[in-house]
Amino acid sequence: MSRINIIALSVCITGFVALGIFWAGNIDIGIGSINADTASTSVTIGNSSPSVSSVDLNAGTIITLTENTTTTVDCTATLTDSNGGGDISSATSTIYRSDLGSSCSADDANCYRLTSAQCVLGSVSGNDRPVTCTADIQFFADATDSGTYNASTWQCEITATDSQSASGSGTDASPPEVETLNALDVTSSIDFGTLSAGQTVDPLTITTVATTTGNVAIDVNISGTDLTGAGTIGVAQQKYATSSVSYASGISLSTSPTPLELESSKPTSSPSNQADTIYWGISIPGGQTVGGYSGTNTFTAIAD
Amino acid sequence: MNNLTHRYLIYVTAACIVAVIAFGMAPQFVSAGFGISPPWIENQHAFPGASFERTITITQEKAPKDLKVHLSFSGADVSGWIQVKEGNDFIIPQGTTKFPVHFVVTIPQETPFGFYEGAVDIVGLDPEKGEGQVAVALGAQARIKINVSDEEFSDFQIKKTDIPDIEEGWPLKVGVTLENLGNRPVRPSRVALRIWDTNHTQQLFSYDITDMSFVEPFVSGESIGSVTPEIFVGQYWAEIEVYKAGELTLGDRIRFEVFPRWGLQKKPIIKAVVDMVFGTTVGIIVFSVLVTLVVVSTIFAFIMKRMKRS
Repeated sequence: MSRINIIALSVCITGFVALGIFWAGNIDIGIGSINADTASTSVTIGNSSPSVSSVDLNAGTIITLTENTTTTVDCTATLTDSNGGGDISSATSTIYRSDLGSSCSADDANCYRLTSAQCVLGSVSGNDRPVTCTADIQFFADATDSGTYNASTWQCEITATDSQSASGSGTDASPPEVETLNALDVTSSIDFGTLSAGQTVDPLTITTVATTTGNVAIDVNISGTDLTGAGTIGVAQQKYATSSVSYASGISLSTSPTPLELESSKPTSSPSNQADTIYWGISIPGGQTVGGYSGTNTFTAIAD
Repeated sequence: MNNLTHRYLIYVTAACIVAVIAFGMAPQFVSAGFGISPPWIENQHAFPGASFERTITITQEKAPKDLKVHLSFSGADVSGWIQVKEGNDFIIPQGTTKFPVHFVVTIPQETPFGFYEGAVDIVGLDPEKGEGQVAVALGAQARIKINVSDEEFSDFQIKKTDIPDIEEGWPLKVGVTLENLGNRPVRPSRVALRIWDTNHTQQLFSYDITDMSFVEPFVSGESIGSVTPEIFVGQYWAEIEVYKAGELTLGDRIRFEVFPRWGLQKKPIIKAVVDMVFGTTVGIIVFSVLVTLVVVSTIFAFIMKRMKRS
C-alpha cells in the first residue's frame, strides 16, 4: 500500500509541479543566457536645457494677506531635464505683480526675488524634479482684486538651472489675485489718568494711535459706551479729534459708529509707517461719584 | 500753624486724593490688530431667487487669546438676505491668525430689480480692560453691494487646469477649475488637448473637447471633460488650450503619468490574493504542491477506507 501511495504522491507532485512550471512559463524567471558577438559603440550625449511646467502660485487660490505681518506663499513647479532630473542643480523664482514683468526690482509691495536658498528641490523622478519656492509676502503687498491694479494679477516665474548652467523658465498659466485687506491696530487703551469731579481734559491731549496694517488706506468708524463704575459717565462726555483742539471743538463720542477721516495712506514698509494720532478729552460732571470707571471704545476700519 | 489747622490740612489733602475719578489705573494690554479680506460682499449679476456664498477672512497678526466676534448688519433689504454659517456671534480660537467667515446670500423671489447696498460690521468684543480704563475694541466693516436684475450674464475666470494620473485603460480626464462670475451655468467652449511623449519631442494624440461639464452660477468648480487615448504606461506631456466663447483664454503644459493596472487604485482583496498566488513562480509552485498534497491525501484516505472495508 505504501508503495502505491508513494507512487501516487510522486505522480501528483510531478504533475502539479509541471503544471506550475507551465504556468510560470509566462513569467520571466531569468533563466537562460544568450551568446552573442560583442561590438564596441560610443555615443556623446549633449546637454539639454531644463524646462519648467505646472507652475502654481499659492495652489491656484487667491492670496489672503495677514494684517501687520507676512504671509507665507509657495510657488511650485515641475522641472524637467532630458539628461535626467538629477541634472537639475538649482532653481530661483520671482513672485511679482504681473504688470511689472519678471525682471522687476525687488520691492516688498510688488516684487519678491527668491534665491536658490528659498527654492527647495524635491526628489528626482525620471527626468522630473519638483521644486517649491517660498516667499514671505508683506501685509502691504499690492491688491489686484480691485483698485489701481485691478487689471493685473500676481505671477510666479521659476527658473531652473542644470549642471551645465543651462536654464529654462516657466510661469503660472492661471495666476491668482492678492486680496484687498482692510486692517488696523490701535493703542490698546485710552488712559485719561486721574481726574477730579468737574475737571475737563481741555484741550484734547490724551492720545491713541491708529495704525493702518493692511494693503489699502482706511478711515475709521468710532463708537463707544458709557463709562461705568461707581456711577455712570455718559458716552458723549468723551470727545476726540485728529488734532489737539479745544474740548468744545472735539467730536462727541456716540454709541453709533461715526466715521473719522484719517490722513494716512497705504503702508510701504514693515512695521507700518502709516499711522494717525487721535486726540481725546473728557469732561467729568460735577458731583460725579468717586471711583474707577471703565468702558470700551470701538474702532472699525472702513474703506478710505 | 497750630495743631488743629495742621490736622485739618492733612484731612483735606487726603480727601482730595480720594475724591478723584480714576482712569488708567490698570496696566496697558498687548495690542492686537484686526483686519478683514476682502472688505466687501458683492454680486453685480444676481437675480430674484439666486443664492450664492462669499467668504471674508478675519486676520490678526497675533491671537494671544480667544476672540469673541460679533457681526451686525445694516441696510434695510440686504441684511435680511444674509445668513452667516458661523452665526452672528462666534469665537476665534487663540492662536488662529486667519479665520474664514462664510456668508450665504439668498435673494428672495419677489425682490424687485435694483441695486441694493448695506454693510456688515465685524467687531472683536471684550477687549482686555482693567478698572478705571477705557479699553479699545477693533473691527472692520465690509460693504455689501448687490445688483438684482433679469439680465443674463455669462463669464468665468480660470483658476487651474489639471490632468490627473491614470491607470492603463482608464479615460484621460481634463479638469478646468473656474470661478463662475455670471448668473448662468458656464463651461469652456472648447479645450484643445495635445499629448506628447515624455521628452516632448513627438506628438502622440490631439483632441478637441467640446462637451466639458458645466459649473453652476456664482460658485467655483471644476469643469471636466475626458478622452480615451490608447496610451501605455509611462510619463507624458499634455498641452492644454482653454477657449472661452471661442477665444483662447489659457494655455498650459502639464506632466501626467499612466500607471499599470492597479497602480493607483487599491486592489480588491480577492484579486490581491489571486495575484499573490499566481503572480510569481514561487507562488504557483507552492500552490501546486499544496493542491497536490490535498488531492493525494484525499485519494490516500479514500483508498485506506476501501482497504478497511475489504
